[in-house]
Amino acid sequence: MIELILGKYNYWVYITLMMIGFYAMIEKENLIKKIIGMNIFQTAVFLFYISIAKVKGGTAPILWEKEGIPYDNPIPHVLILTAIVVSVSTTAVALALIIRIFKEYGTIEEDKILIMSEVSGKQDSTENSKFLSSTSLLQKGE
Amino acid sequence: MIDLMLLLFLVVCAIAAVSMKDLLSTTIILGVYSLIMTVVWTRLNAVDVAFTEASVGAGITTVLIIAALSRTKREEEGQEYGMWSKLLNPQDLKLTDKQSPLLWLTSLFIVLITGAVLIYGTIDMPDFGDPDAPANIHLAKRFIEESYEETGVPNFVTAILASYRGYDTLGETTVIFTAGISLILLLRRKSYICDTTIKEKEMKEHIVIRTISRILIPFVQLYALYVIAHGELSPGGGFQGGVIFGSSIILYVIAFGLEEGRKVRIFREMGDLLNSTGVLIYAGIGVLCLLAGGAYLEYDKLPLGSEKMASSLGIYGIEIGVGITVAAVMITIFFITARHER
Repeated sequence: MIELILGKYNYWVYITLMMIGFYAMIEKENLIKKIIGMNIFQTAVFLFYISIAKVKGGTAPILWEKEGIPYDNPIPHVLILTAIVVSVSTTAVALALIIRIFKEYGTIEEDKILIMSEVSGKQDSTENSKFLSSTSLLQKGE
Repeated sequence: MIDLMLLLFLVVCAIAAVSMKDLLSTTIILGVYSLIMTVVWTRLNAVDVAFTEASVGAGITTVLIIAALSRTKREEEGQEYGMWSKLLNPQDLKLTDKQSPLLWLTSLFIVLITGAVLIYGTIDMPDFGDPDAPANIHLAKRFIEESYEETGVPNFVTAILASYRGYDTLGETTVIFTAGISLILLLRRKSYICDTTIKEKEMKEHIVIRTISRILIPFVQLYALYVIAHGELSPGGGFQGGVIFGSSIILYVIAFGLEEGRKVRIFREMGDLLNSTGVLIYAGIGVLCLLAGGAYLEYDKLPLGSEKMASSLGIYGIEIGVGITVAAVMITIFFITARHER
């Protein structure tokens, strides 16, 4: 039992982190909170990959003159290195979309956006009055 | 022991970041989280990854989220009661009619079930640090034994990144380039009317920040070039160096204001061009390899002395391409996200 815990506890920490991010993604209404949840989720996946690459007593995967010391596995490092840079790009695109949503709806709370888009979908008028009426309806509703 | 402490600290930071109401605090805590993550990665010997995380996670992501917050809202609305008060006094809940009253309970249930299933899955995983784990005995061994002979690059991570997985890296660079383009399409407007007058006045008071950044920026840029140039020998490379170079410009803009930053002429006139130049250099080196009679991105065939030399120089070239694209896209993203309009 103790062997099991010592061998796997770090995987369990990563799963905990991943679930914290997952919870933020599905429960929070605020869109920026969702993005932060996604970031935490991603780093948990990255941690999982990198810990697979670790070899007991290994050293960093850069050629070294001393013989006999094992190197850590460089392949997961390569995968995650590029994944981090791609993750910042996806975060940037998501933030840009959030800024556009805020410009259209005046809020970044998902539940309010849903109410507003439902209301404006039912009316047949110009876009501008749609937007105005939906905001006033929202204020009455609260 | 210190590894366990760092991991627990990560969990604490993650919980704090998710449960805070003030989104600015959340962002700063996320920066701290990334910084601890950097230490964890250094402890796991993933030096190249730690380098990337320090510049991207703790630096650029924080700045981008703060820029987005300045254009939206700082406070999280609606959920006046945190998870604990919901659990303790459910009668206090104020719910809009659209919101399911059991949303938080359902999500908690889903999260716990998923977590339990994943933990059950780890029982079959090889132990942490097991040298005989399937991931460590097949491909990795071959790369470690032969990549220096084949590519002439002592840093295995760079060798795999640029040579064995060269197509993949070209794809990743294109993804970053595409992200830059989508941001331009989503947010850029023709009129550049900036409302930065008030902020500029406020920032003029911060003489310490201005003086320090004026001294620091040239060294940061020099360091970025060093990181790109030495990616073959030591941790670093195009991605890390590009991000560091980009953040030096971002630092300048933060200290001196957007208007001043836009005066950096090369980025006003050539920003969009530089975005694509990097990808073009990368893809162009591939085409040169074709012309020299090899396969796409087969650097050995380039007519640059011995095979090892040619391969090493080819990898050097694409690192520069990656660096240019990453730096230009980071600067573009920041300029576009941070702009205020009236």
